[in-house]
Amino acid sequence: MIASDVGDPARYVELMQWYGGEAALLDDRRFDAWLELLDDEVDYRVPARWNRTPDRPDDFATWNVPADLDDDDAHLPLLQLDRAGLADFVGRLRTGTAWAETPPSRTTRVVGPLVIVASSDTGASGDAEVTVRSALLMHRSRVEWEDATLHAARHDTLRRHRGAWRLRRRLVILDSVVLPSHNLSVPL
Amino acid sequence: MNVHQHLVDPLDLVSPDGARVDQRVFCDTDLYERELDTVFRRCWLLLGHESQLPEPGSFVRTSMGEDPVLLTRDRDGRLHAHLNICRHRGTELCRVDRGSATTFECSYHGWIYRNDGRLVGVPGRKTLYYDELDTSDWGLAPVAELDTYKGLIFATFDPDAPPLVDYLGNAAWYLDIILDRRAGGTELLGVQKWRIPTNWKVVSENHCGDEYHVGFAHRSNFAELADPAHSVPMAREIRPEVGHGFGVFLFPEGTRLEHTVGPESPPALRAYLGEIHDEVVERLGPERARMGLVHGCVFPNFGLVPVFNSLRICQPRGVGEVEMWSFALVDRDAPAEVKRVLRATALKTFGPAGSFEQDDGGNWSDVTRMSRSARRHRVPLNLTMGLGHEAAAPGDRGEIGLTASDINQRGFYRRWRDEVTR
Ligand code: FES
Ligand SMILES: [Fe+2]
Repeated sequence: MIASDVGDPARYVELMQWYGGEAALLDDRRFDAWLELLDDEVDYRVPARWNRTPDRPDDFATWNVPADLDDDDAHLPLLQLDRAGLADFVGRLRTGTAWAETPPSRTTRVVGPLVIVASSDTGASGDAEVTVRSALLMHRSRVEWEDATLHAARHDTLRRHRGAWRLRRRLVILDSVVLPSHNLSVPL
Repeated sequence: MNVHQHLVDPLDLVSPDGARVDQRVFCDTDLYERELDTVFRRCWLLLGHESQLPEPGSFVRTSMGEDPVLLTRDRDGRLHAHLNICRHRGTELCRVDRGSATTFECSYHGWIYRNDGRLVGVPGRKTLYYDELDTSDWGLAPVAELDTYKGLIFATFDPDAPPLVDYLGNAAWYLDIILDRRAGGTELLGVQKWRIPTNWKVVSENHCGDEYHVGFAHRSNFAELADPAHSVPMAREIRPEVGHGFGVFLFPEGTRLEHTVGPESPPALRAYLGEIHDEVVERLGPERARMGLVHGCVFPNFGLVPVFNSLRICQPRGVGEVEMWSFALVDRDAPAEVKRVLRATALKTFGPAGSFEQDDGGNWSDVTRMSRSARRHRVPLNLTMGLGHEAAAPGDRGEIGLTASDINQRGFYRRWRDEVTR
């Protein structure tokens, strides 16, 4: 269900700026600054997808997210990290011997229209929580032999505390069942 | 003009001892077609694990080489593997990766097959085929043989293939270290799939024997070591049979299982290993109970990194591309918390985003990309490490290299040379 209005337009603009800024930090490989955007309890996942049919032919609710995600203990996501794991993930890239990113990939992330799926204000302090869906296109060029574009939907939860939005949860839902890239060495 | 003048002879590409390999093995398209007809048609190939098909009706869509295969469990619990290709006009029968089904209906003209492969439904069989179609002739095309080894499901298209246990040979004794250490056996979690622009042999030779690259290619994982190339403990290489290979850590005699993992590993894991120690020693015997399997390959494309609980199939997709399928292998009877620890270890290290695996993909792609030059410039590659220093493995279970050695890669290419020319 799509909320018919974005709520406070100023907040919507604020979130657009946040998403644009986040993409720029990742493209510019300013990973320390990016880590600052994460809540201490961030839950970051990129599940694997699989080919399935809906439980009922007309039931695209079960066809769609999350039923066709390998997102339980019996399966393996492509990435499942907490804050420490994400810090390790991007920290490794700085060792000089993370050959997958030496030389670094060049990336461009395009984050599509934001849809505020839910929002709540949790007090007079200005603290708030929003659930945002967006589309992500990430083009990645590696040396000159791989140019891959990954397409995904992001389902995020952001929290605002002391005036700053931080990412509390991110589910990146790729279109591809087989990741069309030789690895996944940068965050989505 | 001799039409064969461009065909390369595999006997010219790999020296008889396997120590010199011409890079054309990675890029020659005729040779690749020949591999599909020989290696991938005759060898026993890993299809999956019984835990992926828990009950009658379970199915998994998989492949053997480039051939699409539907793996099913019929109502009597028997496993079957058939080409996933409709016998009528040849479209893909099942496009769902896994699930449960009694029958499969083709999306083109509606032929229906039972999960044992039999054709059981043909629209218009009486009216359009005049009741003359003998459906027993038109079931799905089965593999020649299907067999399991301690949970793993293998099949071959070759009716003259040796039995699976003979094909595995001494490799089975080593595989037991991970497959048979507990009475309840194992289960497979997964799968992650991704595409690497590389020839499949580049991946398999790495799995079967490349201890050498660990300290360098994966150095970022050992950042705290001053001189990683020399500080990372090297496994010894074991060649149970020519073509198969494992890297093995040998812990001191009497080492308890909980001491084979670092003190930084989660307490739940160490407690679990402590609990199962006696069971493992009893089942495997003291000799194997102190062996840790590090990496391995069962010819041609079943790869293992048991030290991180990773099991993989490298599916060829053309001469210069593979689909990597990566799973985690865990003890079936381990508590849920321990399974999560084992799964997390596999995730952190292997798979497309794993801290080890990320760096392999680029190297493997490069090896294949560079090989195109070798079509003109015949510069052989070096697989000489430890040549002449092989020793017999204890108990006559193959041969060993006492430290990092190319013994297994030499075996891999010798086997490959035999398979594509026999
Ligand atoms: S191709 Fe399957 S029914 Fe015709
Ligand atoms: Fe590696």
